Amino acid sequence: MLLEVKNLHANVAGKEVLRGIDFVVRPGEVHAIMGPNGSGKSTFASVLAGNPKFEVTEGSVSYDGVNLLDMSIEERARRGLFLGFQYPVEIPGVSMASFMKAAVAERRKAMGLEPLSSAEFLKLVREKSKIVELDGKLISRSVNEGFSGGEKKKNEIFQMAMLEPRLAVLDETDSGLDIDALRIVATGVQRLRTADNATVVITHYQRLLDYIVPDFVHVLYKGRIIYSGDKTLALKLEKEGYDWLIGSQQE
Amino acid sequence: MNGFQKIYKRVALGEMPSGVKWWDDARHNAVLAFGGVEIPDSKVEEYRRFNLRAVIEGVEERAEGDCSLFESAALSADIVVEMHNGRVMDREYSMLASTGGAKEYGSAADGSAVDLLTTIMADDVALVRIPRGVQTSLLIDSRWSGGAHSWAVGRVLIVVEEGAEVEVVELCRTSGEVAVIKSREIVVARGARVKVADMVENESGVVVEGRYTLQAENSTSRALFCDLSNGASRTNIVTRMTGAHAEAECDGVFVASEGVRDIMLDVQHLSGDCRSSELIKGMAIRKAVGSFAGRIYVAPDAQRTDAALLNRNIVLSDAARIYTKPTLEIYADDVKCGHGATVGKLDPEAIYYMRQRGLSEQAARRLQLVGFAAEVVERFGGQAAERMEAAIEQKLQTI
Repeated sequence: MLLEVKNLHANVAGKEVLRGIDFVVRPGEVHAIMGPNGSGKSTFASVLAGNPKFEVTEGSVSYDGVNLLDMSIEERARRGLFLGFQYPVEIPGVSMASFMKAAVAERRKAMGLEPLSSAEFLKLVREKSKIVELDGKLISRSVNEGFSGGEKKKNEIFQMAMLEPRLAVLDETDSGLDIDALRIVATGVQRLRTADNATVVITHYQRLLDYIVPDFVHVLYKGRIIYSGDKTLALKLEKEGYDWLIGSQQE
Repeated sequence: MNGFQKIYKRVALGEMPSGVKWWDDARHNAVLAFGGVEIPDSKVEEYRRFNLRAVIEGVEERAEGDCSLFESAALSADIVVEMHNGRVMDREYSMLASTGGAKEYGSAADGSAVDLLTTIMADDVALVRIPRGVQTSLLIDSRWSGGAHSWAVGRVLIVVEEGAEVEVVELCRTSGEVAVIKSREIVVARGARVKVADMVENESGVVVEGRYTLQAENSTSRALFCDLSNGASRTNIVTRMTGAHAEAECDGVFVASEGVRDIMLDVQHLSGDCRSSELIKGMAIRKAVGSFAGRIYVAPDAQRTDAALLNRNIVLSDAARIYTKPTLEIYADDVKCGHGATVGKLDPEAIYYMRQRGLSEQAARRLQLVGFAAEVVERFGGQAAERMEAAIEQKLQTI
């Protein structure tokens, strides 16, 4: 088991936003989490990443056999948990190159590997930026500063490719993308798939799942997973919306 | 009367002539001018965060530390002037050898207490003249060493003649708790260009410094300073453009860590069609206090002035403070002048983002701060900028 979430409850500013999530991910799997606005999808991703804004009040999360909730944000990342941000942060003055160099070094250290030489690092950058058709020049710019919406999202997947996570949680990576960028981003994710890693995609739209074909689709509503199915569930949701599920909840 | 005041009195009474006539005249004039200038204490608005009088009153002996113990500056230049506790080591650049005098002496300075005191109390003045049309580089390796209650005074005059070009690096290092009072004038003649980098690496002393630049028409100056002192420092930067179409740029980075870091910047547009821009970035860590006061002055007939002054600061703890006061004083009507200041904290979202990629919180903070400073340092470029970047990174290791 790569990730095992049991009865996870979390608060933000005293308000309960996750109300008992159970969720299991095995290596090699792709899970999609869907659900209406405000259902807690992004919160769930943030709690997994360790965002200090949220307070876990109940439940457990086991990641690769260890207690995820005991770990700092960076420990989680170094052990291969990657969060693709819905709104990637602009960091003026910090170049992508120095940022990624530090990040890759930490990830490699956690895996017991030596840091890369400058030449090896640049080679890796070239190789990985191709996956998302990201302009190689962006590596010398400040992190996300002045990047277009599409570039920011591509940059998230580029970083994912650089860090080779075991579990990637992609928070609405498709939002704000035109159809070409969506295809590039989604194809990139698909290419990074291996038998040993897993991906959780949080999305509003079925169209992303044309490229990243999920093994499981879950519907999150009011802080709980209320329904799980296979990829056909996404198509049904696209056609029929969430009302039929939500209705059954309220009964 | 303390040791400093005793020597001041003897110099003022003409009891300690240098033997160089023009220099003794300059001192005499400074003594007369100083009659009307009180040594400012913290009751004076401009010295509110830095009590100059307390520094002067707190010193006794002249600094006599061994300045040869500093590591090599590891910076190269065509001309190297080494100064030990204000004394010029190479006679070629000492005013004591310059019987002909320097008519430019005092012309760039501002008549303030720091200016006058350095004229009166300096043992020597470094004089470097860059002849007309020459392109060269100059390193001022300024070393200061002395124990508690010791003081030393130094003065430098650089004359850049018409059409000449010079890249100046001044590295000011202190060892021990010495109190340093120093001034540097740069006189930039018509069409001349000067690029000057100032690095202050003050171990635990006090550095009070005036940097004065006087620019004639069509001249340009481009300055960058980096003050990472552990000790206290006060820097007065005064640039006056007296000829049309002159350009002055001054950027800077300071980190306030132990002692107070107090920067006063005054850019005076005294002729029309001149341009100036300043970007000063400050950081204050732990319980440190940083202070920046900047002024752009535009004289009544300095029409078509283009000036921009910006001060951006980051405070790294709840106890750290940075005071900032950018001001404009404009007497001409056809001008474009801007000024601004910000004081903020590091962006917590950015830190979270970087931690999510595996960087420790400290590494994320450091990367952000180094990036904050790099903006001004990188665009200056050259060996001085490289040294500054390395020094900044090292300084921020300890935050």
